[in-house]
Amino acid sequence: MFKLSEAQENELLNQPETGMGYQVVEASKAGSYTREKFIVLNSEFVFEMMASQTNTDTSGKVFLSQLSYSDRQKLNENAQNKASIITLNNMSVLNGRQFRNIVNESKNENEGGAIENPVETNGEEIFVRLSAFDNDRRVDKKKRCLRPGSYTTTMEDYLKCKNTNDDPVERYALPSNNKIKFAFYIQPLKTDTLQKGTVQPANGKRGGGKEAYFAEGTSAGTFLKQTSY
Amino acid sequence: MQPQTLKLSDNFINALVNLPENGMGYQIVKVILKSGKILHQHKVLNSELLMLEENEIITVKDIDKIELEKKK
Repeated sequence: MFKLSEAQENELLNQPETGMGYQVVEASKAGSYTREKFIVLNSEFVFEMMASQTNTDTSGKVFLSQLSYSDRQKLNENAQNKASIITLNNMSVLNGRQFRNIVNESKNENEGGAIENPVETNGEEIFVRLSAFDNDRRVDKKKRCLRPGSYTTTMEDYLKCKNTNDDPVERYALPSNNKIKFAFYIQPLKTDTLQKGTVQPANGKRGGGKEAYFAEGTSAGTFLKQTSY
Repeated sequence: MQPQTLKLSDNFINALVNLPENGMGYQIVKVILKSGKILHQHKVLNSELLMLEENEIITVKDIDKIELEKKK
């Protein structure tokens, strides 16, 4: 258990809570570039969240109720300013929906990311790649195909995203908040292999959309068209 | 606040385009600087824009190599 500096405490005070009395924060500890999740009580007391806690808890409240007696004792001591200070870089606070979605998405063991799932083929389905870039470099416009190692979503999930007015940056857990502007339509041949899965929470985004990974890319001529999003 | 990005040079772009993505439109890389410092877990958008942390000030000339970060 740690305590934030006054400056960081003020930074969090100006941001909404994830739930009553707590904020779930994604940040990297000073000296580390790895993003981790922390639960911050009263914008002040910091607990590191273990992966198992984000996987099994249904809400921050459950996490709080599971604090051990010694943790609670420490919390009392922290109230007396005995906790050591921790610096969290690039803090982003998850709202309740994002946090719930992380928990919910992680619950289903059958819905891993695409690369965890078996290889399959498909000769009919259309896939869509969303991008902020007109010149998306994974789409080879000369050969009209996807380059090896590229991700798309399914047409069905793309339409669900559009029709429900969902935010594609959240749904596909994209690292940049750049607005999605383009959609690239791909129809692989029967000989093209792919892996399907569910976008896992990442980059401080909830994920939950469907993804398809083309380790070998797609055959020439499978890129159908580009539209604006 | 949007993170800063650094446009990579063609040699890095051409190398990254031939490496797999980690998610739709991005790759997670390790940036090895000429100074010997290594920046871990950085993201590159569209194989061309390196996302930097708030306090990182580097130019393309500072970069020696860019490699995909090994999966955990």
